[in-house]
Amino acid sequence: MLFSYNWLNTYLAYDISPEELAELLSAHAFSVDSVTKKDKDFILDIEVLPNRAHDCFSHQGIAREAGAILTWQGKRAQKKAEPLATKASADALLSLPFRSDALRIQEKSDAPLYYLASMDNVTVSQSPVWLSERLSAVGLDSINNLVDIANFIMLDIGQPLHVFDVSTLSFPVEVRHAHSGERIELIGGDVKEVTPQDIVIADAKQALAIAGIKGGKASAVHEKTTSIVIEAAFFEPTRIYRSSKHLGLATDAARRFSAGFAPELLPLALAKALRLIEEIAKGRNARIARAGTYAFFAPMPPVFASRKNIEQVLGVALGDTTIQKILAALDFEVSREPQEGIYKIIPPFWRRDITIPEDVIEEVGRLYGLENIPPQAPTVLLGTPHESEAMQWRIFIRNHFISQGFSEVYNYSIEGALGEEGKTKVMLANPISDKRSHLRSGLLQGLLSNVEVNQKFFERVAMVEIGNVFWQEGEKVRECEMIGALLFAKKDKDVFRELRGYVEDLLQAMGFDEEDYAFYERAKGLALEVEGKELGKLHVPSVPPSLKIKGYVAFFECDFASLIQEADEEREFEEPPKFPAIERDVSLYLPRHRKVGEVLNIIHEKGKELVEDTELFDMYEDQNASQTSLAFHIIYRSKEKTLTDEEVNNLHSTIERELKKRLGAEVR
Amino acid sequence: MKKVKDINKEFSRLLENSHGNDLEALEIRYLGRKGVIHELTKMIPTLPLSERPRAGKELNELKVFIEEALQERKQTKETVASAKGPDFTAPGKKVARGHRHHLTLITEEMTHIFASLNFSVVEGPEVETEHYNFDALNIPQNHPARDLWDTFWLKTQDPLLLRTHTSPVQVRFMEKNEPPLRIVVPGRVFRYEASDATHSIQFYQLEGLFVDRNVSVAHFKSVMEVFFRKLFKGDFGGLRLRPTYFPFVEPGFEVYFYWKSRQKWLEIMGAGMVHPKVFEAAGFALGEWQGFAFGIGIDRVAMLKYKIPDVRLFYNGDLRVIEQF
Repeated sequence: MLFSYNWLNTYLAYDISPEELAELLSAHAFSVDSVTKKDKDFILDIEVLPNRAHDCFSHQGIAREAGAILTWQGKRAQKKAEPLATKASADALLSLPFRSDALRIQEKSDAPLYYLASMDNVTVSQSPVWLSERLSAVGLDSINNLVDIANFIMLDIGQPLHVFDVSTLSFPVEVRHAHSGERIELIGGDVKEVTPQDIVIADAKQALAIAGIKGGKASAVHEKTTSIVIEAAFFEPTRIYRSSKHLGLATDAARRFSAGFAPELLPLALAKALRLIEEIAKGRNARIARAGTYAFFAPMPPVFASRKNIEQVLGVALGDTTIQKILAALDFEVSREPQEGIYKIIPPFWRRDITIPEDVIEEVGRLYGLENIPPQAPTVLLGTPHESEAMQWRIFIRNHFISQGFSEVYNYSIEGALGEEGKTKVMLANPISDKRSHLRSGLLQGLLSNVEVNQKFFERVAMVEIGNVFWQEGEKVRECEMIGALLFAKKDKDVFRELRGYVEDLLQAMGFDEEDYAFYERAKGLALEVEGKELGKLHVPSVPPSLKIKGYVAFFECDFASLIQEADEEREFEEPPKFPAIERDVSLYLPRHRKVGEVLNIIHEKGKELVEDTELFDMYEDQNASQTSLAFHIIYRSKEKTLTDEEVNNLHSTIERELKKRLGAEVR
Repeated sequence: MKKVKDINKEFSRLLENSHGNDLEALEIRYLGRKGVIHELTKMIPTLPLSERPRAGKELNELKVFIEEALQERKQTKETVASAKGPDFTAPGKKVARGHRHHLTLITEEMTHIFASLNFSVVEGPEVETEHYNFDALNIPQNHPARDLWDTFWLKTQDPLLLRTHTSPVQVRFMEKNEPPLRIVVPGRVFRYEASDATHSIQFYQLEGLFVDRNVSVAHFKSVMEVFFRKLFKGDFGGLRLRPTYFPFVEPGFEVYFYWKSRQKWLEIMGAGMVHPKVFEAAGFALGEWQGFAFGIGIDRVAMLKYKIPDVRLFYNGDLRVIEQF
């Protein structure tokens, strides 16, 4: 938010340059993003914190804050300053007689306080130079003296005001909920349709303004206006916030009402406004109509804080004097309670955010200076940090793929609508675009898009991703961590077998024996079962043609949590084989409609425990031929004795015969 | 003959200092048709008869000596030549190595530092409830404070969202565990924001929580100094705290660190003392415990440390980038 240095400076009782002021505020209150010279002024862009919007969205508010810091720090030359608006300036106003019949408030909670001050004899004209300069410094255009005064007061004190031309409306003025479908033409020409959740200021005929947000065109002041009413109100902050959000009108007024400033600002602002209208626009005959009462300037509820607690949370022994001095600089009234070391603190009326001791601790800490707190190492009881098994397995699995040449990628969790069979993708209520409208239900899409990028630079792409996917199950959303691995090669057709090899290697590295897992044919690939639970798949995915991927792809995906649940980290010793192995090869032509899996089944079926291992070391598939050429090593070994050549030969022949008989294979 | 001895000496010296191809020249010089030996042989008839046999014998011995010496040298040279083997200056074979993602590297670096300070690493779900993401953190509905986080909401009956920070996990942890506790929570978070070089709809955060009796701002500063010093090493030039506001801490601070090689203060972390309302939502008795909480963007640290200019380079799967780390 932009603030004028000259404007602030009128209220500062100490000599301080714009840059020093920026540094002071940044260190003790709010970050000042920039100090920019503009004509004869300097503009400070101050990031007022959300919890101080209620008192610092105004020049007096910022000046008061800076003043408190400067008072605490001392050490600077003092100068004359214009006093900030205080109770005294509002006394005259509050002692004026009030009318209440001119107003009707439909629901008190929407507008707990509503003041309408009327003035006549006004002359609408150009504003005096000092006023238009103040407004232009912070980027506001000068409209006319009345509108400018209203804007000036808002930026000065923080209470938004609105001026109506009395000739355009009739009394009583009502503060009510809008009717369904009601429309209002705003200042500036926009027409807005308001809803029953919005409040409007209206007379019998029409809505005159959207309360707390923006005024209507019909009742706006113009050059011929001679009589006015000035609205100063306190609207319910949440209602104004919601309305400004759904109407898309984040006006200066709306921002301030949403923050919930102190009601005391109302009489302070109105009093100053009336004075300026009298001075500048020759207004006379101020009369007030009001609805709602409030005990202005009554003491705020006290907060109790102990010196011990303040010092302990900050971690520095400040001492009584320092603490009290800081609080006094902030205009906090401090008295000591009968109990030793307890302060009774009454915040000033403009601070609505001081309600618990921690709020007081923050005030003391930031004014004292967080940089002045010396670091101190905490003393803790030695313990072992909790180590999650899941995290360790994730590292293990990731590193395993990395060691095999896969690189790790991270893809977006939010994708388009395209999903996979059997899973309903979770939709976003507020998608950011067509391509980012649903949560990913699998890792494949992201990895395929990575292939599209990388195939331009690499012949072969091996990637692994471990991340969460989501899908809808009835009313519930399921979140599941998946391991995904993808192998792509421009020319090598064998990526599927290769990926399967890596997957089996991983399973074995995790401690699974060959009996613990199995692959079953499924769609264009295999399903993986571990300890009887289906938890993964390995397949050749269908690549959408839009992706222009030229090459061979194999993809593996697996439920991470389920997999590690079955994993057993502890290994068990197994005695190395006692007896030697005998190796034989079998080469065959297999009719094309038969599968390698069938060959292996027969080998193991016939060989039983004597077949220790098999290895398919050659495989040739010719698209045009009617046969596939295969070659296996078979390793025969018995756990009980040394096998003789004769025994092995017999078994091997049996196997070959079976392959011929049952599969129609031609053994070579 | 005296001459023979001199020739012997001279030859030996020359042979010692000879290199490769000199051998041929030496052979020609001493054993050639017009060589030294030949010249000397021609001189024998000029000697007195009695001396001729001995001179011949000596000359012959010299000739044999020279022949053998040269032969030995040649053989050594050939042995060396045939035993030369591979050219050791050829470049090494390229190894296909996989690479961990740069975010993984930074996350592990950061969690390791905290683990060494006795912090546990905890994780939680990416889809969260409104309660854990906002309400339990003192961020009520219809409050301007919620504007600080632009949220992705799910189209579901229950109010579910993609978590905007990993703080919900801290609340969940506090509900189930007694203090003292020291945890860090790394994880993916989401913001409804237009993407550009420094903004992404998803990024990684590391948040932390330290709860014990009598925890102070001074303790926070001390722990953070250790962390940042280990993270940025020689480039770390100090920490600075500035007041700020988050609904779940009071007081709240913005942490800046001084980056020596850039000679700048950089905002790096949001933090503060845990707000009593958060302890209340987690079920802790009022006034018994105190703590500090902090949050740092992992992507941002990676961009600073590795000098990566655009956050979108973290999520496009470009291996030319990933394989640099």
